[in-house]
Amino acid sequence: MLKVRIIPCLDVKNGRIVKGVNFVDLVDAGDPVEAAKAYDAGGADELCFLDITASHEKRPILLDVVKRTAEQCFMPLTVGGGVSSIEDIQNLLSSGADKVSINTSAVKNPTLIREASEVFGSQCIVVAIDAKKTGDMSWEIFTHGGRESTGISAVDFSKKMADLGAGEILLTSMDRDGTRSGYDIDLLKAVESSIPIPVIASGGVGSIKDLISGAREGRASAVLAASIFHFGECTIKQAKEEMAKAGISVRI
Amino acid sequence: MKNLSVAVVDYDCGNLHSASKALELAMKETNLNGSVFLTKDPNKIKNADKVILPGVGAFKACMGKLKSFDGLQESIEEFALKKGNPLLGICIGLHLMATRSFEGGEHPGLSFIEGDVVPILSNAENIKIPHMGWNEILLKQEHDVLKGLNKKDFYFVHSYRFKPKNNESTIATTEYGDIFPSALCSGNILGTQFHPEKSQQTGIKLLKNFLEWCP
Repeated sequence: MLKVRIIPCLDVKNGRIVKGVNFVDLVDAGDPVEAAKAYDAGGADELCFLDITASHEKRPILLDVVKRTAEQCFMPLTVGGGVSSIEDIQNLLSSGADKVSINTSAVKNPTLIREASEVFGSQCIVVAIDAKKTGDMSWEIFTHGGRESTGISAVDFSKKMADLGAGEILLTSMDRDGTRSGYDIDLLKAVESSIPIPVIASGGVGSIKDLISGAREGRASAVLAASIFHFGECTIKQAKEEMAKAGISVRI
Repeated sequence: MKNLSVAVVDYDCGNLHSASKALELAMKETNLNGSVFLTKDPNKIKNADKVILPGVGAFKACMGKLKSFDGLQESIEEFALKKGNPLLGICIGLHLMATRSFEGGEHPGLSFIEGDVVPILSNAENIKIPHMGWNEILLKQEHDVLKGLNKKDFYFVHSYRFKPKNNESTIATTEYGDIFPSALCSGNILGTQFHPEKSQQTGIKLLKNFLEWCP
């Protein structure tokens, strides 16, 4: 049986891990290379590395840090931040990424997703969506690390990305990110039920209970979190044990 | 003891470093002495003791890359078919060894293991494609390379799967939508649908078994 993946996320700025509260007021939480090593030993199912200001600062991602982080990973590594061309993707894959996450450019240039999935295969193309609630059951997507609004519906955009060949959607609730109040379950359900590809839940985890509800109620294929793992509030092992107790299939 | 030379075929398809890095770790954990190297040099491949054909990507693109380097395909054929030395194909590397693939049209493969590459059955309820994440393998036959690995979780990421002509080539299966072969073997040629190089200690164990394997 396929297991629900638990993914610690390294939000990286200037080569250091930071964790934002609603994407501003960043707090330094350490060295990505050391963190990758610890999470690999700790049994994380996958690791996500996001260079959160690359798009905003209009610069390429820090390949050297990616390389050193990948060296420590014997699990899949997803890398994102400022990816805007086939060449960017090739560089990241050559630096040790297994999958590449694309956010801003997926909105500005959707054909990149089709082209990339044809060249590299759907399985390594992750579209990262930052969504904000705009109505009772509607969400709008934002780009540039949550800085620019687009007027595009998150559900419609997810469908379009799946059609173009994305292999996975990394779905972040901007309303919940950094608040520790749990995933936006309605958003997860709305996106998950309308696309045939896996959804990674992101944004808002404050406790292991939130991981459980993301998998169970939100039907996410994977649950992503940052602070609760980075600040040592719980280990990957503890999270998995509690999830298993709650009847969720995890890799122990 | 002779130095074991392990060649990882470098044909510009995805994350090849992770395969060589994992093999280096596996080598350290065995009693073997040897070296692991990434190469597209046909002579080095022909003369290696073990060859790994890794790769990530679409079938057509990967086969195109493999054929784009002079003598590369022929060197793998000589290594595996003529010399009968141990070859391991991983994910798309396994798919390349099929007779044909139906990923994005119909394309001929290397025909090392008879069978086709077909889409994962997606009509089962709630089945997401790609099959992405950790899933367990169930041994169908005893095999040196899968020793101690029955019911262990490995990392999978694929939308297509191998459908062998002869069921005897299936050495392990995995369930997702339906039950499909997740490890196959034909004599000295072995392939895994999952990624041992991405499967932490379980994957390293498989690679250690492969390095010690004498078919």
